[in-house]
Amino acid sequence: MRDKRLWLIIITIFTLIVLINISSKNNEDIMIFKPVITAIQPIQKAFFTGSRETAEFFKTIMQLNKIKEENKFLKNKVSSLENSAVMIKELQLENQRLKEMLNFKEQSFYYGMEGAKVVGRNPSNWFETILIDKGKQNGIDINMAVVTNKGLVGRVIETGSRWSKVLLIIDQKSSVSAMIQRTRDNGIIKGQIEPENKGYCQMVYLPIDSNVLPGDLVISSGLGGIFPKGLIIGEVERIEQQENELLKIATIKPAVDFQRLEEVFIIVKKPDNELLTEEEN
Amino acid sequence: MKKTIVRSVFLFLVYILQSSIFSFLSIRGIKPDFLLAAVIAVALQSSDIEGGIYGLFFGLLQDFHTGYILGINAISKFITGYLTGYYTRILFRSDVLLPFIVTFVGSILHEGITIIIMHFIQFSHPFLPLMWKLVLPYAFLNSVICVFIYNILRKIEASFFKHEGVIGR
Repeated sequence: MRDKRLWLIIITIFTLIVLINISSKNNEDIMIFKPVITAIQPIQKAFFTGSRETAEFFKTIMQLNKIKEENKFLKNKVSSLENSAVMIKELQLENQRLKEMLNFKEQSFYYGMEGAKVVGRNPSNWFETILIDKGKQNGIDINMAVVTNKGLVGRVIETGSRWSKVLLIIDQKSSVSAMIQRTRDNGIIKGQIEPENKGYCQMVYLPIDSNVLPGDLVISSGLGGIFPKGLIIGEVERIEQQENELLKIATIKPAVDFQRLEEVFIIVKKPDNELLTEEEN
Repeated sequence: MKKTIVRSVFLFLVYILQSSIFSFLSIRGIKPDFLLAAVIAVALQSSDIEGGIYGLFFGLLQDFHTGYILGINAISKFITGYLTGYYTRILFRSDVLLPFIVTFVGSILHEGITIIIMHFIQFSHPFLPLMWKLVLPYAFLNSVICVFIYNILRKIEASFFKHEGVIGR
């Protein structure tokens, strides 16, 4: 009986090691478990949305007086902004005409955005992934870039019919080709595991002669083909140069607040035939 | 059978709460592991094999659901759950000290297994600095949480199985 139990434990551990080995290379090989996520997702979404709404409700009650004052101030602001909006619209139209005259093609023209809600997050200290409520049915595919209005969030690593798993740029496995906007120096953005640097990224492989400074903006360089060029990643916080090393390392504060991630956008590349139709129009 | 259902639903709820409401909770960059604390609490109430099975099943759920290296939580939670169930048979019983100490040791074991596996597959981190900065505070947080979870679980089981007269095992 005891031998049987020992063998059972050994076989279980061995099977798990094989599973770890396969999935560390490519977890798309293990497709049979996708229905598990599909089944859990609605329950989790209800918990996630419910908790946020409850917290918002209590926050609103607590700030009722402040909201009244804010409302008055905002009403005045709205009327002045309405005037500005008309002016901006005029400028936009003028800008569009000029761009057309110059035959200028904006990079964003080739992309569509699909909005999604965050419904879950990896609770572990070792991995930084989120689950979103859009999947293959919405045209989401692996390696699509995920952003917010602030900047780059990460990339899709797994998709189901109505969900996708996103690897955040602060995960230790993530690597994004990036450049310092001011100096045009290229490097790689990587996530960090140490608790004191949690939520920050490192920009490695920066040339030794780079004159990168704290406060410089870091954007995606477009190299590697996953992330489009020009997406904001964050700001340089500090720069280190290790002894006997020919490269610099910069600590980057991401533009996105990963602690308050609720809605994201997935950059969906438009199919070529759709692009042609739009160009013809 | 009834106990298995109650414990499984309890662990499932803890996991859902952890990956939704509590997923943004971190103290100085360290996220406590509510699921591990709950697996240890259940293992303290059951046996080695049961503790191992709960750890394996819910560790796998965590891996499939939000992870990208499948099996890493399953293996560490399986071993931690099994050993918790095994060694608590010979330890004294108390409402606070037992779950606290067992969770502290169990959390270090859990993270130790994770670091070793990660070292072999793709990541290499200096073990000792991570132990001080991440693993020990993580183990302390989990231990505090486990004291609450263990007592909540005991109350739930007591209300469900009043007629049986005995709590646990």
